[in-house]
Amino acid sequence: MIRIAICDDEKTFIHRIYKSIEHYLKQNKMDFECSTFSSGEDFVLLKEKICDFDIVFLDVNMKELDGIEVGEIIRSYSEEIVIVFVTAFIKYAPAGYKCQAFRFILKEEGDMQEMIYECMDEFVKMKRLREQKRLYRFESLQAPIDLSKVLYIMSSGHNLYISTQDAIDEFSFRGRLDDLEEELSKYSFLRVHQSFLVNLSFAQSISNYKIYLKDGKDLPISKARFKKSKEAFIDYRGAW
Amino acid sequence: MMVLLESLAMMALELTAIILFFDIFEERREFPNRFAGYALFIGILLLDYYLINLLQLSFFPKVILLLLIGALTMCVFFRISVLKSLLLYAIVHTVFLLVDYLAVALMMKVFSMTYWQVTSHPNIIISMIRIAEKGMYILLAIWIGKIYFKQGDKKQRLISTKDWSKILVFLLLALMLIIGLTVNLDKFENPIQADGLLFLSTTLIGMAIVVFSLIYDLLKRERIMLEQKISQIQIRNQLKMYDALSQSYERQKRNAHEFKNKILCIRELSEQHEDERLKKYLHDILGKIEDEEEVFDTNHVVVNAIVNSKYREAKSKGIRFFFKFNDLSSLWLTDDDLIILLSNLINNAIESSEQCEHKEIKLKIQSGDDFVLSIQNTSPQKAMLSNGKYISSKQDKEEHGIGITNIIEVIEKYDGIFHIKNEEKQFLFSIIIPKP
Repeated sequence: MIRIAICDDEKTFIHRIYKSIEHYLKQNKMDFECSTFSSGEDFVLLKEKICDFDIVFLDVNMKELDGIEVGEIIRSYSEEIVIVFVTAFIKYAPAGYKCQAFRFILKEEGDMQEMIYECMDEFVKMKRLREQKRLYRFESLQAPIDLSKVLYIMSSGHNLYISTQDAIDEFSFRGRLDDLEEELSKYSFLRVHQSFLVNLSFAQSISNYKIYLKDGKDLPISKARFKKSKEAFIDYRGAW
Repeated sequence: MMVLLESLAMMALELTAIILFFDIFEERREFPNRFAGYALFIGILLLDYYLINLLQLSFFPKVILLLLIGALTMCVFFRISVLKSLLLYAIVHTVFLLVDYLAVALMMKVFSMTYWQVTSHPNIIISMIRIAEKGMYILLAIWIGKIYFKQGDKKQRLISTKDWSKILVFLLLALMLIIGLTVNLDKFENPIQADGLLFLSTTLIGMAIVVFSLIYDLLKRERIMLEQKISQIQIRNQLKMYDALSQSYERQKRNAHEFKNKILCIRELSEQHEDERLKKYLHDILGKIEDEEEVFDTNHVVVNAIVNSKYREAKSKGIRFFFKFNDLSSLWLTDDDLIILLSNLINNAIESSEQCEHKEIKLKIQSGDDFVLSIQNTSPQKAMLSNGKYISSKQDKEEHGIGITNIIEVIEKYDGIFHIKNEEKQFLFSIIIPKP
């Protein structure tokens, strides 16, 4: 079930955006729920209930509370909600991307529907991946692990140790990195060393034979894997 | 004692020269600390001395043993395979032998001695000369290194390794010629034959020097021509960009001017209650505004000018253009470099995606702890690689290849890293430039 919100002070645009979304989701046989709001103030009245939504289409230039401000308020409640700015004037763009906007869509005649389609396409893909990542099941572990909080997985002997953002070496179980390497690559995990599988979303930079993480830690990269690791890191930073 | 020291000194110089020579072509291995390297050097030196002087071996087994030990030694110091090391070592050694023969012949002539008298070095002067000669090897290695690299810059090689091997084979053949003629040198007591050898050696070395100089001059000229061509293309790109910028300014001026007229017209139509005409008029104006408006605003004048004009171009060709960016006002790259990067990257992307059914370009420019610039586009087929330069299926392959070379030059100027991911339908060029 996908929960969508559209916030725009012009009824015609709410209608057009809704039609495009409905068409796309019906075509792909997906369930959805859509709520509409005719002003920013109405939307932010929801407070924490904002988090119920998966994706919000925000008009940038509304009276009183404009889209960018609404975006910032949304972010104060959740980092995860996908924000799509819909606008007639893209001059607001830099501020918009500060709220980690997923897309910017121009209110133009023919283009808008195509852009909404592309946006929904990418959103659905990303949402699926996110859900798989959040509840990843390792074979020998009972509880699922949220991969998006895992910094890296280290192997020592026959055991694997998962290092997460909150605690270190919280989980350990029997296994081999060789088995996990390919499976986890689609969640941006990279095998930098015989004993280390790193989550690229926490990678800050790469230098000779080391990879630095955002929290200051660094992990070694084996010489044999260096070229591929560096390339994978650069590709990751360049990807959308 | 003197003999021992002298031998060791000569071998040390020779080994140093060989290492310098190898340095030109190959990468050194990293040693855990400097002393390990020096200790190894001395150890190998002593081993060589033992094998050459103390083991009683005949000529050929000795030569082969020396070659093997030398090649293996180089494998220790450099990242190189045994086979390649053998080949390179053989070539280096023969070059030095060539010089050696010349020196010996010279001394035979000058001091009126026989071959054996010279090489058994009873005389201190001769010993000094022979040591100095080994020093010459080092100078030779440095000189060749200079020619091989443009001003010591390892990346800009004037001659490729393949060409170099041809030159060295030429030297090898020259030496083989000399050896062939002088294989029984120790039997020559006759000063006339020594003269003959001297003459031959000198001529061959003279030839080699002339050939080297010629090649050097040719390469220099070629490099100058290439640089000129690159400059011309860069200037052309820049002119196009400045053109786009000035057009943008002109448009702004005109718009400001026409704005007042439009408002007057709207007021007129509204006062006349001409609703239908007013609606149509407003519709038309909106259309025009959208055409001329700056769609993206990154807070950076040059980036805006380039991306907006390229966006319009892409749109007119039916290419979907996505742009993800943040506030770029604090970008540290120069305007010229940004022009080179962006116009080349986007031009290539437009040319490529134009040829596809599904035309799409995704551009990402983000400035924060570092600077990320990436462009992703649909491509009709895998772009071809030739000599490290990308060539397109378009006619002006040369210009296209130079375009990518320019991009890479700019990236390296800022110590950036990049990767090109080239798959069947998608092309991704990602660049990361660290903060200075």
